[in-house]
Amino acid sequence: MNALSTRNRKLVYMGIVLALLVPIIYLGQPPTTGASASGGLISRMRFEEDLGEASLGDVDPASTSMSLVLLGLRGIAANILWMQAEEEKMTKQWSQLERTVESILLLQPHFQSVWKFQCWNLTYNVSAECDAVEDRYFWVKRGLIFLTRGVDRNRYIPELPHDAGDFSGKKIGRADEREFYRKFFVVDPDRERFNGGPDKAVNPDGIDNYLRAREWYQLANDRADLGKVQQHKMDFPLFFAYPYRSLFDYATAQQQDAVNAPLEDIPSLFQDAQQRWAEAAREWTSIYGRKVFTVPIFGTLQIDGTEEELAQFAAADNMSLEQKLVFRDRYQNTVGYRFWKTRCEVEAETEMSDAHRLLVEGRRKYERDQDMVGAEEAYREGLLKMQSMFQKFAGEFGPNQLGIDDRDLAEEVIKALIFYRSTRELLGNPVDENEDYPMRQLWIDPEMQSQIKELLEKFQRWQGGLTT
Amino acid sequence: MTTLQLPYDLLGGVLHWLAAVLVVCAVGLFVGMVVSLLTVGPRGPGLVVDVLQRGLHDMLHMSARRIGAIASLTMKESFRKKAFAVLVVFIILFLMAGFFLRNPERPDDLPAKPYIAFVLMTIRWLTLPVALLLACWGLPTDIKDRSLHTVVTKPVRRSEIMIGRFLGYGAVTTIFLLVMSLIGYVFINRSVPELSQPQLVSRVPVYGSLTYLDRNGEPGEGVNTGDIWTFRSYIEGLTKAAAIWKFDNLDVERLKQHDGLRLENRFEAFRTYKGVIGQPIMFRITLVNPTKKLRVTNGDLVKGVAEFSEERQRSAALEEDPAAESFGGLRTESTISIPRTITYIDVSGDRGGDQAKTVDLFDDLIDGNSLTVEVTCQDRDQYLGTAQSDLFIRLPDRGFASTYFKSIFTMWLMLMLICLLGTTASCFVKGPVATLLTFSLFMLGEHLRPQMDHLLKQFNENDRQVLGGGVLESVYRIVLQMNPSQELPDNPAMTIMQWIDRRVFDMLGIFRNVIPNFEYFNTAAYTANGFDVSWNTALLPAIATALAYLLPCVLLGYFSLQLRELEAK
Amino acid sequence: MSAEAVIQTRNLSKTYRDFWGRPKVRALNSLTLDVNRGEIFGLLGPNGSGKTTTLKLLLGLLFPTEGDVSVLGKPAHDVSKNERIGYLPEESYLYRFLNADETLDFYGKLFDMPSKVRRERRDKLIEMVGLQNARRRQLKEYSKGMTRRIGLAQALINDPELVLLDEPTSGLDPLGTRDMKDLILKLKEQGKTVVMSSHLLADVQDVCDRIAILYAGELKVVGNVADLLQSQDETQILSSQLSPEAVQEVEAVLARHGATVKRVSHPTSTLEDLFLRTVEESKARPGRRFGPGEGPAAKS
Repeated sequence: MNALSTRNRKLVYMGIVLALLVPIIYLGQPPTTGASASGGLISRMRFEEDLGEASLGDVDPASTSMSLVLLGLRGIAANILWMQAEEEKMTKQWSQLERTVESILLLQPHFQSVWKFQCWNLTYNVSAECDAVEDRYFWVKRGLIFLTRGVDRNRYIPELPHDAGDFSGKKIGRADEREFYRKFFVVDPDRERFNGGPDKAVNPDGIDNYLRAREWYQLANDRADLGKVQQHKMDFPLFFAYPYRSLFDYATAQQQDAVNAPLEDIPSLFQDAQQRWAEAAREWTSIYGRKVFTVPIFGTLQIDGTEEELAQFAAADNMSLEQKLVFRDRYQNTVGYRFWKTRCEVEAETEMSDAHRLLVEGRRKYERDQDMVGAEEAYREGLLKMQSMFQKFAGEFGPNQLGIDDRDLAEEVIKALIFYRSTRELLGNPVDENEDYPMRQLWIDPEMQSQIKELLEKFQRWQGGLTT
Repeated sequence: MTTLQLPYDLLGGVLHWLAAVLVVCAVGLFVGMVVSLLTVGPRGPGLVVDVLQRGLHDMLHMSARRIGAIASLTMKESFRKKAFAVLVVFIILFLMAGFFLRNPERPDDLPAKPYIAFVLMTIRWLTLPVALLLACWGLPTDIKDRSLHTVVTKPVRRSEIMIGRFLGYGAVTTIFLLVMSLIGYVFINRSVPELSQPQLVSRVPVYGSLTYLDRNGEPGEGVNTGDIWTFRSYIEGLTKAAAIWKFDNLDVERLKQHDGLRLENRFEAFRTYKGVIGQPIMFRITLVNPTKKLRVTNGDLVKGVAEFSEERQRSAALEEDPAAESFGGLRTESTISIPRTITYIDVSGDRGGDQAKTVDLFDDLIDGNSLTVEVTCQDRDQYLGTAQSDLFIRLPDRGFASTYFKSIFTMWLMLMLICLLGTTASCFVKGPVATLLTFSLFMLGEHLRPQMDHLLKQFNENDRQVLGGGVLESVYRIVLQMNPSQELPDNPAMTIMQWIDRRVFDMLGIFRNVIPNFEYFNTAAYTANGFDVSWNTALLPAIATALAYLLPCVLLGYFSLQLRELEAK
Repeated sequence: MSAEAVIQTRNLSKTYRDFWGRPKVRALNSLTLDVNRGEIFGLLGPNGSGKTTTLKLLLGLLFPTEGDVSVLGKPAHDVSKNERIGYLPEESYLYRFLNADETLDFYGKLFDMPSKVRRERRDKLIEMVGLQNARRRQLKEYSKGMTRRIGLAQALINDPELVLLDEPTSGLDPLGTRDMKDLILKLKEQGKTVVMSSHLLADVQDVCDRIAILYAGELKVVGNVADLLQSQDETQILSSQLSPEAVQEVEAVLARHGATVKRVSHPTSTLEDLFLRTVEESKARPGRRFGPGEGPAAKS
């Protein structure tokens, strides 16, 4: 073929091989010990950038071998699997879909979108397709278990535990099926298998879903604090508020649960809720409010920073104190800092707790026991306590400040007033509009009229026998 | 089973086959004549006739012993060349199956379906390359090593070589498949979690034909509730809308032995509002005898929708506990038992009042040998999703082994066809080309056929137009970034382009007839979903397809070998 | 010739073509040849002269470009003629993963022989070629000589009338060559017709009755070995070693009869002379064809 003899050609090949080996060795030499800045350039960089499989999270040998076996075809294989997953979702083959997702994970274990997207798929899309509520819960749970693994596989990504918090908290606690889901979270519907307890895979300690969510959010915050992987989900102060806010959610849920709880449990539920509010108040102001964070443009801030503190940040960031104060206030508004602060303080009061309890008791007496006298009494007492609380926290908008800030509270009070008026009517002693009944100031507040009208209509429908 | 296969039209298939074979033969003969005329001149056609005569003679004088000798030689070759190493790979894969089927948190949650699908898929994809490589490389290697020369100097017909080789590869592949399928069977039985074990069955369904009444009670269609998948049609609750199944050709005498009837449904619910969360959407079954004008239903025939009950593992207790918290104790099951005697209230009205009556399922409701079942939704403004395969009569189950090994059988047929095609291809091309050719045929027949059918259907129904055009037009549109609905400029070049595209589609339409439909050989869906692999929708077409290629392939292989100078350098 | 022709070729030509069908090599040009029953016929020629092509055309492995072949009275493409033919390929193209027993059994089956007959033939042939001790070893472990021997055995499995041997002695050591030649002669004794090709002249000279010399696809010489080598105007006397005195005496006797002694020497392989001369002649005058009895040897 050419002038070179076979032997010479082989020598040339050998020379090329050797020449190529030099950069390969320089770049690719494996580390001498498991995890250290030794070995070739790539392995050193991997260590420095924390890209090693072991440092990213739990190692899965199947996944690693899978990537090896596929050589360069991993991307193509992953694409095909994604398409297959969509096809299976379309044709409603859920168990196959789950298998396919598992296979995708073998290929892309550190791609957080896989975890998020497919968890969402199972938790929201698949579960919504099912008619039986246990089936829906089953798929919510599958999604959550799935995401839990993602959290373990990727130990620096803050968004994954944050998502897990969202699913544990919001999906379980705010779905239309929340009554079932919240119960199922603590007592799995498959009682035989879980011995009447929770499914440990989603709820190892058998706690309320909001408390579980709080743990997840806390983990997310810890990871975000580590700073190895940035979260891009939302503005940092909002992201960081979640563990505390799930405590608010929990306490609120406790109060709501009381409506259907056994009579003897009601006091303890309210006590617990009150304690939680107190705890939340403490954390909100002393931990969250004190948290120092740095955001783009606005620099270093504290949600509840004092002027001296902000002055220091201003000096460091080369800004004026006025600017920092504006930023701080803007963030306080964004996260509803003052609102929640007040809310926690209000709810942590024994009188407020009692007020809630009495209103619930009144409702039970009215609805279940048909005890109008007892109901009237409970409502009156509860409303009186409510009034006292409203007075205590009256602000720039007058005595109804609490109700204006917190529409849920306003609704609670208006409902109580409707029932109170109904009991009075049933007892043959209708409320005289000029009479000074408790919480009258809310009833006549022009701001409240549309809400009152709406709730009255609802009440009339309900009384008319329709349960909707 | 999500989709329903239509029963196979054997007669139509055979006629189609005959037509295709005749056309191919005629074309082959014509081409042979022309080529011979061009190469050897006027003597050519005579030679072609001569070759055909010899071919006929050779075909009729084959010896079983010679074929057997070549087949057993082939087997020895495969085994002595260590082809069984594939089995080792297979076993290792199964040992590692945990990796692929794992569910680290919850191994017990898995239904049986993924296990079955995994095993069948693994066997399929491990035996396929074995068959492919063995069959495609054997003869070319034989020719390359010239060992075939010694063989053809014996009184061996080339057809015997071809058939012997095919049988040999077939036998080797069969042994592989047998071993793998047995291991797979044991694997499934051992690995499927205890809770899912009941899913290892072979249900024998009898499907009916489905018609709809719309909300005004007129014959019509169901409603699409926005699902992308148009498989199911939905009927509105508490209207006159109904889905009506008619089960024909029932073996009534056999059904009578079971003193009742078992229906199974996989309806889907679609809620326009949440409704009562703990309660299923309800549907009512009405048994109708149109001849006797009987319409029978009662409270026992109102059931809750049990959606996707196979898509997850439920614990038995949950299914059986009537006081289970949700669903208000309403039983939602996919199976519905219809007793032999049914009491109902006659509201037909000609005698005025409500009258409790009793009818016999077999004597009164089954009309001749057909049964009509009407399904309506019982919840206002909610919808019930139905498809033809969503309601069927479930005959007594068979063992899981029956459906599993039937699936293995269709897989075996597929492998035989691969061996046949590979051997045939290797009669006229070298190993790599034969492999590529056979594998392409497989991919075409298995994966691209649906798209091809879809395109051709569009082409034929849509005035010989396909959205976006054919090959050239598509390329043109892509390059110029024109969307499919934009008009092409009106000039001769476009006309020529479209003319060529249409010819390409015509060719596609012709070639489609000779590409084996490999989809018939994949019955894993039946087995994985716990259904019997039925004779006339799955087994028959698979057998017919495999057999259809036998004679043409043997002929093609024979003439290729016969007309080939083995010694040509 | 009165003897029955077992093989007849008439104007047999073979042109190899390239991928595009263009003629590439004219491997055989217009060969007309008869081989008679019961003789050992040698095809002689340098490498690439068309010997193997001829054999393969006879067997129907190749299709003639022009001309006709008839083997045992049948056209070459007729498979049934193979029933009565045995063929030993140039290299033994056998299945290397089989052992000797299996090999013979396999080829026996190809002749549709019942198993009893197969066993008998197998044992007999294995003994004949002397492979009793190696019959259960796979062929890939065989030496070259053993491979040739099993090759011959398989060629004889059907007790053929006509045996075609392609370079039967190639690669064999002198002892093996001798054995092979003896076997070929034995075949003739059994009344078989043998056609062998070789480029080793001594082999051909020793065993063949008639030979054809091919060069560049053309038949140059064909005829009886003895005739071809015999010069009509010369007589060769071969004796045991004579003393110079005795030689003188013989010369005297010859002189008395009017003959002159041209040369006194030890015999050489004269076929080699013939062959080399033929080849040289062909190079000098391509296309020249020599009939029997008028070869270059006869003219010198």
